[in-house]
Amino acid sequence: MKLALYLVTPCIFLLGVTMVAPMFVMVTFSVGERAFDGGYAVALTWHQYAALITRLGPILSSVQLGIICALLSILFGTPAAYAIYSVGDSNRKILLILIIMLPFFTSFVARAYAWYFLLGGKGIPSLLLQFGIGPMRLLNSQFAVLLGVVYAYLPIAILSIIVAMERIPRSLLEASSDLGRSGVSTFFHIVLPLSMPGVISGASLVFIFAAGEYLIPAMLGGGRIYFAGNAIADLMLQSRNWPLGSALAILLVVIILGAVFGLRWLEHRFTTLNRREGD
Amino acid sequence: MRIYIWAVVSFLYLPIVTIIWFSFNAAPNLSEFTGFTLKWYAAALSDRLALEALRNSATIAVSTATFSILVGIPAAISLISLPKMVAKTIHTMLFIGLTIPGIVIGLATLVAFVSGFHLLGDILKSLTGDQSIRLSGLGLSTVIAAHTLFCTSLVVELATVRLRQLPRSLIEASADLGYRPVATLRTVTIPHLSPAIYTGFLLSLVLSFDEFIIAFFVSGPEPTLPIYLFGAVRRGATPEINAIVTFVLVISVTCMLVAYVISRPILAAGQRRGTAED
Repeated sequence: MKLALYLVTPCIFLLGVTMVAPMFVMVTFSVGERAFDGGYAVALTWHQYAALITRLGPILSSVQLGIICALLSILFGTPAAYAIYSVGDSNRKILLILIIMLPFFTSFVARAYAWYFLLGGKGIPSLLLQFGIGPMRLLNSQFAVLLGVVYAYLPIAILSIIVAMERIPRSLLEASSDLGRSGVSTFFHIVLPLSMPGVISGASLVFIFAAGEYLIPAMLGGGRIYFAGNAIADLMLQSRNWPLGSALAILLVVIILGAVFGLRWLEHRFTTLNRREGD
Repeated sequence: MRIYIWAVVSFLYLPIVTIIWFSFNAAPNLSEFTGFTLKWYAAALSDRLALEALRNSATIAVSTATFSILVGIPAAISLISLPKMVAKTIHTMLFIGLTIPGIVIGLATLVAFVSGFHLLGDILKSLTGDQSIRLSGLGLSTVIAAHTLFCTSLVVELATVRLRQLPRSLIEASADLGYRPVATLRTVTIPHLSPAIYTGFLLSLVLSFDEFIIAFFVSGPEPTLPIYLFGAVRRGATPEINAIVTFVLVISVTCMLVAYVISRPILAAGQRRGTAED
């Protein structure tokens, strides 16, 4: 017991300095006023949060973009997850998951740059021009940002769906095919409903990541396509409006934590429900 | 079905492979491949700013990984024997540290550290009466501190999974045989944790080395390699960037593959448990 206290002290210190203190400062700033020269002036007001409502437009458009990214990821991710799930050999399956996940653990800047290069003037457009197509502009468009975000987070969506599918007992699939259902029909009537928790959590993960995204819109969107992350960074760094930026950041954290813990609860409900039905 | 898997895999790898391929291309265009060259690598190696950024990134990554292990492994061990409420609170906070987007962590630490240094500077001024004191601590150490938060969360998660695979009877046996708690830690718990320690170290190394957004805000005058790349791309894509990006990709992929090989016992034990539950 005494030993455990010694062991956990550095961790508590770390949490205090790098998480609790910064979040505390940010909450304090968010109820403060903007100083004349930018930065922060001491106050206790709800102005900043009220001001967020007047700026709902950009926030909603970033929410919309995040939802599109999430939907695209599960649209392309679910069939891939099912394909990997149906691989019989477990070594092969693990290898496939590794291959899918590996890009996710490489540098984000490197991968965003790869698309910047591919979509830019010297990339695909110049290749197409040789075949007489174009000239076209792919970079700095909403398409480029959507592609970049889906590309970056597709692996995590696939993984989350596979994890849910793995919980489905094999016997259910065998029963389904014994009863004469085709693979496609089994997928829609058995696998998809039972892996819904994974699909939902995959979609939310992509949405959460996209909401906090700064790099991809900055690199592929030419600064014209906005996520909450870009809005926060601009408010803090360019307008030097620390209180309003803090309020937006707090709002983002509240939404994300609400979604994450809500999902955990939902998933818990789902699994207990499934188990009860199984009994 | 199989075709679809390979379509997804090619989608995921196409940009990466293209960059690697064209880092060796003499012509700077995608439309033509005019021959093999290493000149872009030579250009990257003679770029003083890039090398400095690489040194910063390497320093940050190694320090972050070391601190995350030194803080995370003891914390994970302690969480078992701490009162349930305390353990759960710490675990939840670490989980939150992993969930909050990097941009918020980056900005919150920036604002907090700048204010903190300001306050500290004022206190020093009034204590010493010297008005010329200016504290601006942003740099490598602030990046290391901010990176250590999310890497520690990851290490604790990994180590907790591994600790659940350690039979309690082993620890009790060690106590029954007269080992003191510290000796049990050294001879039973730590050796059992070693795959989690190595994997956690490598994962932290890679994540910290590649991390962009937090470092972007708190690195102050010391750019890391991702920040240098971001700036270089904004100034215009050059073949030299292809070479640096290839180098960065190779480093992360190598570390990840080593981490995967080391973490196999954890995964395998997890799977055995999974099948036993079925």
